[in-house]
Amino acid sequence: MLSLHTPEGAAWEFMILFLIVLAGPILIERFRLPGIIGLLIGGYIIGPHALGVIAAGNTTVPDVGQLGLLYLMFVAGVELDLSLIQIHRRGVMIFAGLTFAVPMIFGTAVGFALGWSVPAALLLGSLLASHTLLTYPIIRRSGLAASPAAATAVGATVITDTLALIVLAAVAGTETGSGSTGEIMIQLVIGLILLGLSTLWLMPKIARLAMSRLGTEKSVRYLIAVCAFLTAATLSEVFGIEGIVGAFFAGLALNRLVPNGGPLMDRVEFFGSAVFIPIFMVSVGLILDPAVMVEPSTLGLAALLIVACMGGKAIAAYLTVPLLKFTRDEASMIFSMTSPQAAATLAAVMVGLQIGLFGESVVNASLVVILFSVILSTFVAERSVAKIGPVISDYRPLGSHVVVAIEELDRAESALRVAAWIAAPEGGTATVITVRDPKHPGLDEEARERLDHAAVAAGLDAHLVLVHDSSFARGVLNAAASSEASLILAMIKDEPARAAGGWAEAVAEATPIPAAILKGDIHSLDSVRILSDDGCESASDLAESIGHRIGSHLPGDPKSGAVEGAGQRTAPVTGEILIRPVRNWNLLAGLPDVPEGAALIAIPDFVVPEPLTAPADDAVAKTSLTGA
Amino acid sequence: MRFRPALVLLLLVTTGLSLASCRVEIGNGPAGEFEPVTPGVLTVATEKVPSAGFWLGTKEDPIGGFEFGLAEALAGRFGLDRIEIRTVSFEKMIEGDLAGADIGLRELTPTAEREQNLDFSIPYISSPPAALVKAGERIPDLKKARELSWVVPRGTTLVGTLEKVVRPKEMTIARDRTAVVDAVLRGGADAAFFDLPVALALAEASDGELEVAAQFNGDEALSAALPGGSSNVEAVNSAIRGFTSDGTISDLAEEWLGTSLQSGSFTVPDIPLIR
Repeated sequence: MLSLHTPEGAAWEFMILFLIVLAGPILIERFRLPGIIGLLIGGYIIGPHALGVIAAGNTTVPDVGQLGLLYLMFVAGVELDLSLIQIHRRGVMIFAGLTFAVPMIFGTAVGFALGWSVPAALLLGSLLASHTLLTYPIIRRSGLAASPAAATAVGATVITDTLALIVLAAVAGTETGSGSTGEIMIQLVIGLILLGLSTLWLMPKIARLAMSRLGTEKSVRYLIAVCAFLTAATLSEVFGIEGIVGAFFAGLALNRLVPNGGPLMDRVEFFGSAVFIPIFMVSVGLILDPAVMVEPSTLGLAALLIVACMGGKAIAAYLTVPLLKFTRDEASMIFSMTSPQAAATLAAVMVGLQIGLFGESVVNASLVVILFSVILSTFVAERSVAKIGPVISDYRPLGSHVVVAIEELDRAESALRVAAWIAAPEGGTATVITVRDPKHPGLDEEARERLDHAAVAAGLDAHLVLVHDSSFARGVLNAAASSEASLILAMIKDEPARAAGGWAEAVAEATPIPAAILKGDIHSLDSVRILSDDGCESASDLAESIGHRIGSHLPGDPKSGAVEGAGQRTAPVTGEILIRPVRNWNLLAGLPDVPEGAALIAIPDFVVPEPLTAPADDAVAKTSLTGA
Repeated sequence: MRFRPALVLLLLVTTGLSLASCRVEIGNGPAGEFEPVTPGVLTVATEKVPSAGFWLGTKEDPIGGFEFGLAEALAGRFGLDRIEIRTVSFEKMIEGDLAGADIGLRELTPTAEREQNLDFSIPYISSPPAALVKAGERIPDLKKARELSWVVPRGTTLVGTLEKVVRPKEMTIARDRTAVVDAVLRGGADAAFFDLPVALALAEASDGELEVAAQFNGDEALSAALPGGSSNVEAVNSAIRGFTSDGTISDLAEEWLGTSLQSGSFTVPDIPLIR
């Protein structure tokens, strides 16, 4: 006789959980609904209100869900493009103020109209004021991501969500803290200041150091990021601030160290989208109760919240027409980007639930709002981008993706450090290319591993790529084109007369992507000197931009000068990087020898013969100017 | 039909402002409304007063205890002036008879059967099975647990759980809690098998003679019972979430059960867990 057991325990629970994570989104997307809805429904099905596979007293799933909530907020912070705030400062500030304040006021007014307490009304306002960039992929696919309207919406998200979280921190702190309101507020202010300082100022430095010293293993770099957001969450809880605030701040702090598109971001997103965030969504589903959701009072509340939220977000978006001179279609696109209520709203409403300020009916009403906003914003996004039309923009911030082409391992560290300095302002990524062609055997596995470690030590989040091609130049060109490089940095051997006819010139000549040729080996950077040439403005601009990026790591401004003629052979001194345009092959071939401990970066500005290239001048000029 | 953002916007704003301008009766408040059976009074059903660790004093004049403290906190949150206690047998209680009280607090664990007669709140403290032993006795692992002689109260689900979870070599069934505790104190058994909060309360009341040596895996937890179909469930749930979050329940556990709860949770982290 078989002695079979009823399935129970951790393996059973996790099996059910991961089946929901796997199947929920797939099934619901067949009905053209977002996957998040499938996770919520799946959570309901296995939860105490339905099958009861996960009992009300279960702590495992809610605990992992809590980690997922922190992870979600960390990812929300780390994914945002902070450079957009600087680029579109005025528009971002105006729109952020509007898209935060109008729904905040409307939401709070709804709370007061319903007779709610001040904290509950304020928390309602803050959760409606935040938003999640759920429709951004639609905008990006349409080639509109770099448009000023889309960039303004993305930049404003950083400020809006931060302000919403600060309101949440204040409300939650006063609800759960002990002592007078004044004492609690003082503690919260001190906590927020210390949290801001420790995350936004100290954490990037510590994380950068830890990654360069310990992060030779990919898993270690990932774990450093995980430790960072958990530390920030713990720190915020010490001051009575909700952990999600700390996790979001940690995301902003590591924004530059975990660049979008980089290998570390791939890992952060992979574990987030495969495990932690879906489990959080399922854990929310556990408290979902359709019986409560379809009650007239819940639906009435949901309708009010929809009016307050969508109305507020719409007013903010359409005010950009008179205030920022966007078109109505662009305003619609902005509305579609800032109206989705998903991650941030869910996080805030769950905090409200956990501290006892909100009941299940508010959570269920919020889920109706989330569903409505996701469907509406997707519809509006698709319509607005169709009206605006596809805009193919070749605008790439100079440091967004640097391709470093390396011929040999010696002196590679210098190239990687220079690439890291150039990529730093955008928190960009890098691809380090080595080529195997008939003349170059390429680097062996051990050498490539050393290169990978050197990239980490330089603070560069880099993909390492070994390209097989018929020539070194062709390999670099193909790899740079396919990775949508914003700059090619070619590290050449420092040999006399090496440059003429070499692979680096072939690359510089044939590519529309800005290119720089690096020669020499810098150990300790003391100064940067930029030379300009009136005859080649594009290259001079690019030299200027690169020089300032490198020079920003030194006290004082870079030195400037002018190229004094075609035969000029100014060489850098030890500890110096000299950056200069070169207008022809002869000049490039005649570059001076570089002394030990110094480097020369040449920016070629050749007259490109037909038919090797498309008109690339615009792209070069645009990139170099905006990068400066 | 052509999509007109301005029209939609105008409609939204008009509706929003008109709704916000008047106090509308939608929903039950942000955290649910509590409507007591008797205005100004929280009427609580329990089995008996006193009950070690959970109710101290008398029915007429309760002076402390974990569940009494919880009742006081609930009354305070709902703005009720006093607490009235009604005693009901455990059997009647799980059949749905709360003697007309607003809530029942008697170390109740929700089960599917009980949920047919009662509504339950979310848990306020976890109640996995636990081992109550003489002070100084250690149960580091399941192997050691199996070697001990166990005693368990009759007529509870604990008998089956002990056989399933521990599978002890020797097991005695005693008539009630008092007999179980006596058996351990007099050496008739090495360990007693109780729900964790009960074991903690008995240890706390034993003047250091007894202690809780281990807790076992389990999803069980204690919840407040409400009459079936009660409209107060959301309010009680919100209150318990608030008390869990702000440390009220942990403080009560520390005062009356001698242990604190994990921050923001209803679990007891200080007792070793045997998996």
